[in-house]
Amino acid sequence: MRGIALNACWMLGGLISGLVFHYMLYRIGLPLKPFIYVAF
Amino acid sequence: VIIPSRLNAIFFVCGVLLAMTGLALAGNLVFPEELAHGFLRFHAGIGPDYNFFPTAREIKATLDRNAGDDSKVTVIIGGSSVFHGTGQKHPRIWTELLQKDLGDRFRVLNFAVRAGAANGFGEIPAEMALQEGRPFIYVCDNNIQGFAAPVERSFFRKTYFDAWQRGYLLSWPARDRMMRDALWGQSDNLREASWGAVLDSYLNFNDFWNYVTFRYTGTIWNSLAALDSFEPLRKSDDPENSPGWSASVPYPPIGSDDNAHAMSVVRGEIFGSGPDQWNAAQGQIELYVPPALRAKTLSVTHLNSPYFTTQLTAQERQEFFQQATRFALFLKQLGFHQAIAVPNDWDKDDYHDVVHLSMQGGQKLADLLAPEIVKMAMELGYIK
Repeated sequence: MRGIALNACWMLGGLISGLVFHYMLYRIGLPLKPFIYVAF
Repeated sequence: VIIPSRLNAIFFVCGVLLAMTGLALAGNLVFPEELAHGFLRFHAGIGPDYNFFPTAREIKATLDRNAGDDSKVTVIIGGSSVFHGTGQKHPRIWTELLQKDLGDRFRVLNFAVRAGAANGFGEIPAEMALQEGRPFIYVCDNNIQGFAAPVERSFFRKTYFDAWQRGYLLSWPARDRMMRDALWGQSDNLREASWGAVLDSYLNFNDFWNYVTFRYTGTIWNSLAALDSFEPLRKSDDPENSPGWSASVPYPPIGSDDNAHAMSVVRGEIFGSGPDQWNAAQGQIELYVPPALRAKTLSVTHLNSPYFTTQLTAQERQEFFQQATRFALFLKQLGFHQAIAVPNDWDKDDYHDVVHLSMQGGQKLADLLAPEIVKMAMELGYIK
């Protein structure tokens, strides 16, 4: 029983890591800070 | 210390793969209904200033949702902040006035963006429309020294590569080669955008997180939005200045630093007599604008406010206006269906800064272009 719970925790960790990784792929494509409101 | 067993590691990797697969599928399925519905333009509140870069599929959804069936001629507006309508606010953005001028037979969609160019963003829905066989006209602006800008310097290169990677752009060997080579090229900007588009074509992270950002919550602190950074972007108003604002902000006094800066911009656009700049301008067009698109394009060379052009010397002024006329002819020779220059007799009150039009100027622009668009629609066989 303890082994199943532990594996479930590892899978949950994997799911969260996948979510974060997916978000980071999106995030690193954006500029680190927004450019100033440009006139042109 | 927890040392994972082999089985633990397998479960962890399965979790990662499951999450990535699920999110990639979700990114493939989400449809930006709210973004597409009631679309007016990609205003600053849903633009790069607020860390929002529309994806190619969001542009496609916006085009499909708003253009409707083929009974109307779609007028796709592209180009810079001048055509975006910077300084004009709903309901008096020049494209709204153009829609009124053109009537029900036409559907005007404003895809011009601030810091944009005739190629690179507005060109994307135009090429989509061309591929789909829609009756459309692409109307875009350029200044007197160039039509297409290098995508490497564009704020929207990510969207451009996204569109190319997903097959929304026309096949055009010179551009295809450049886009393909960008994966291993020297330019960091192009390489990043290129690899990002390749990954995104499988994982759909831009579509998914853009959807979350627009529909549910912002995810990035933004100094412009400040405490509203984590509000969904669907709540973001067009932050363009209110009517009357431009009239309340006078031109910089002659002799001031601001005026000197503006004059350096205006003077910097004059080519002089050498052929280099013309060759460079032609090179960019040949690279980025497929001839099939040129054949459906009305290009408008915009000028600068007379407040500044009247400060040029007589010779500079003559060169400036001659270059504008010559640039329009140059574009026609390169296969553009129609190319015109904004008349040089407009008043300084038609502008609200060096180049952007006031609402009064926006009305003049709409009135100038409406008959040109109708004529072009007849020549292209869309209407009788």
